[in-house]
Amino acid sequence: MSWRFPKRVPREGHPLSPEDLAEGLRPFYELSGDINEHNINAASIVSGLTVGVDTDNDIAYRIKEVNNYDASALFEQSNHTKYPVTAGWAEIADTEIEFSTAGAPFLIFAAIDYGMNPTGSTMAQAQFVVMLNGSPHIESGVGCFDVNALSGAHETGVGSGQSRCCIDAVIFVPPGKHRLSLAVGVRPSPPLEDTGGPALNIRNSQFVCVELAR
Amino acid sequence: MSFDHWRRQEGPVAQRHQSDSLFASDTDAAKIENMVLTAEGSLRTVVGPLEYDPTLRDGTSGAITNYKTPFDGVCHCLLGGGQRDVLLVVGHIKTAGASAFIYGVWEHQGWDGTWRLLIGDDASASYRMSLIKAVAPQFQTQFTVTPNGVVITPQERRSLFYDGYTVGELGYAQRPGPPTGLGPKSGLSHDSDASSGGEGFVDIPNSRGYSHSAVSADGTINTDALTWGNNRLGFVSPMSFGSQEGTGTVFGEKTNSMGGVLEPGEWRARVQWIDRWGNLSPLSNRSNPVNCARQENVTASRDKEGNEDANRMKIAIAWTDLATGPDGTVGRILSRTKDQINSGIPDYFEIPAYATEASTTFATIEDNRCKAYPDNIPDTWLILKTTEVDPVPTFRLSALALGRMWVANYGDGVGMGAIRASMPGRWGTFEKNGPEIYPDTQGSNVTALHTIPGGLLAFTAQSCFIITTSENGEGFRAATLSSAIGCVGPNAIATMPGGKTVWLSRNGVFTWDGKELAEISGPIRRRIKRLNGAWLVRASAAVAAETGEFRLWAAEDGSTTNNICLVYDGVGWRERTDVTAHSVCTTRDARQLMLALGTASASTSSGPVSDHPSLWVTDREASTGKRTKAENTAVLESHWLRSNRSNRKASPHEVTVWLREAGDGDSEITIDVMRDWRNTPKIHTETRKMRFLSEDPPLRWDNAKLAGTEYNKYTRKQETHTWRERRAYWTKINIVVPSCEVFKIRLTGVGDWEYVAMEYSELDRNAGKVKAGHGRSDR
Repeated sequence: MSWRFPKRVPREGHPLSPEDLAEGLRPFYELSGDINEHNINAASIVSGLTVGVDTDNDIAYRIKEVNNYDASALFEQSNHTKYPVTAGWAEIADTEIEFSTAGAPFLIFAAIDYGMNPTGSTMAQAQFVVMLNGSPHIESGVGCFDVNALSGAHETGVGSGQSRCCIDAVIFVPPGKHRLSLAVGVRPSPPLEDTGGPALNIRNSQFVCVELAR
Repeated sequence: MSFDHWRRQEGPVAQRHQSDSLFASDTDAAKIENMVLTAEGSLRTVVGPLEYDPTLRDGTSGAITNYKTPFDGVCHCLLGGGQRDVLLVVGHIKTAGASAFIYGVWEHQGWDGTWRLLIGDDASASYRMSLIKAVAPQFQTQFTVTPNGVVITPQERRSLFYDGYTVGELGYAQRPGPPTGLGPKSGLSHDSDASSGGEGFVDIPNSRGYSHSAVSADGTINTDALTWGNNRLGFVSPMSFGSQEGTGTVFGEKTNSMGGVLEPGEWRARVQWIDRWGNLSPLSNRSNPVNCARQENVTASRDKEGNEDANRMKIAIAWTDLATGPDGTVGRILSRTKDQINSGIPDYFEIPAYATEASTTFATIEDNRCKAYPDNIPDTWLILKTTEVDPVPTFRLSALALGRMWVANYGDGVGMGAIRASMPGRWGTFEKNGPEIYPDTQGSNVTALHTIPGGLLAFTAQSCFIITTSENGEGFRAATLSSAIGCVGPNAIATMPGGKTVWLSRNGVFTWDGKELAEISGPIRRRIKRLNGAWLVRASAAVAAETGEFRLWAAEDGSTTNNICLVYDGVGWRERTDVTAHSVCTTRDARQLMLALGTASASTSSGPVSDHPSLWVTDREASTGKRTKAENTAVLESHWLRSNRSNRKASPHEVTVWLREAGDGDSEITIDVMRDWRNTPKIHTETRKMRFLSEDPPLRWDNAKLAGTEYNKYTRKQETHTWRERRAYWTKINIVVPSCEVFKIRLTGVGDWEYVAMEYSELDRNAGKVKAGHGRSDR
């Protein structure tokens, strides 16, 4: 998204003009399509309104993030959510980000903690991917991509092992309103194949989407 | 005070454009400054400009001076199918953390709010080049946007090309060194001792040097070579049969039904670089000739074991010392003659990389590293004639038109009055004998190029031409539009949305609509005369995409920078002083911003800043205290009212001005009155608040509750507040200009105010049937 600037900014003491408000907002609602003077509930403005535009933070940068980072939660599986063996991609909790864009490359950073319950003798493998509107953006995928279903033939990890997976990807997001999230595909560990498999403990630590403003 | 019955009402008059003429109607204004025509037809104060990338910090952050004049150009374009948004400026910039300003071409990096030095004389530059600082009247750095990149033309320097990722020289200004050819040579072979009946040392053709035929040095068959088949170069005549003199036996058992003669041959080659954008370099000089000697295999002296294919005598050759190209070179095209002795064709042909032409190959050698090329391509595969290319000239102007890059005003000689066109799609490749036009018969330097639908406008300082395709579609032709009207500089021209191209000439502002050339500066001729002729070469114009206005920034009076902006809206003129713009451009995306690289006064929480250099977005504003431009002062000055009957004096008594709610409740405009063709002294001054009666006040930001209600005197009920358009209203000013010929009203206001029209009333000198005198004794 290129940098955008308001045409007019409502100022203190100036007439409360819907046209001027629209002029100020138009460069932005052209993107999201859901805000102008018609969409503002007049009754909601009970104590006046002063619009401040900070071109440093409001316009130039578009950083959307879900930041759950907590040092004490790192590798603490009691804070994780269990994800069983999945046939497809299962969305990871606390990763949803919604936004509108004119279409731009997005820089994605994600850090996902995952681990195997100590009772497991081997560690189930997992694949992580960025989802765009619920569909996996497979180029962003990381993790074990061994898809061999035969027990003993695919890669495994150490039982009770814990790890952190990081995604560092650039994806192009087309114009419109979108939803980005993270998803996981859990592979069964060999001894539990075809039994539903173990549950992998997963916690989204950080998910940062930076729109490369131009 | 007389009765209203005797008053003459004039108006309303709605001034929208200014005129310098002495005789003008009441609807003309003497000056309309810093006002923009709204969609509703009124005039409202210009807002902004706003810094594109803020350099002024609020409060404790202090000020960071990131930009410094002189500036020399600004360009915005979308590359890569619209995905790569490129914003370039030329000037001094000191990035955060840098210790000094660096002059160069900078690219905005929106994602981290900083600038990258693209071209400049610094180690951090992507392309290191010392640029001439624009401290004297000269063309600004030129930018020509193409589908795959932008051509950057710093003045008196090599033009560069930037594709959004890589910057490099546009095409080639130098030619490669010639290759060295290797081929077979004839040499001696020791057969056997001559004294014992052998032939001793004998000459074996094509047996030495770079000898890779299927015939060994001793004349026997080279079975190793046969593994790969025969070589391919050389002309073999199967009908040439040799004879052995003195034996009387011509062929006998030695007849070789597949025999023939390899005729003497000669080949030469030239090499040509190709860069990442497909531009070709000039051809190298010719290589040394590679020859083969006459050789036959039909004579009895050859020790044949049977029929021997004459094609085995064909040769392969090699080209070495292949010059590697400068940065950006990704391949080399090797061109070769056919056998110059036997073919009779002197031309050079590109050597294909494979046996068949493949679309995946762009050069004979798809690298810029190897030094040698073994050449076994037969003459019959040489089909594509080599493109002969001239070095890229050091040009000063360029434009993209008719699928080609047109460059003009190059070198220091005859090229300053010439225009050349590149190959289609190869913006930095200028074919030898390609389109080259000298439009001006007087030989004047070309001062501007501008693309229009279906052609190209070319200008000198006192003439203009249109270049179109010739009628047979094979070439181009230049037709003279005017031998008196030129263009002052390459940036003083722009095309309005309706297709009308507007430019500044020494004689005024002119337009070309595809049919006729016309002057539009008639109403502001006096203003045009005030422009600083020496510096007009750096005048800068652009069309505001939102309003469709042609805005021309030029240096006025003694200024050496573009301190005045003349605005043409398709009907008439206004002017602006909100920014001193060294260079301007309009963004080519949906934002439709007009960017001005220059100086403006700004207001921050730490105080006013004057003449602050920056990249400004015009007609955009930020909230107060957020690096906003200081409030603009807008002026609407009427022309001399009642001038068309000024010979008959009258006494204007009041002026009513039609305004519209704007600004806060305390905003004021000042009304000045002047009379009888004199701007001084002001005979009356007073102020008016920009608000209507207190009985119908507007709701105001920050001190009104939209959720509330108010008592409405018309409905006599409490009514809920609603969004309401700003209200228009009239305000009256009692001016009293007794017995004047003409008078003038000047409205001046700081900040937001909006003007619709004015009306005035006057009392004729004959009011009340009194034969009043003119008040002057000399007529």
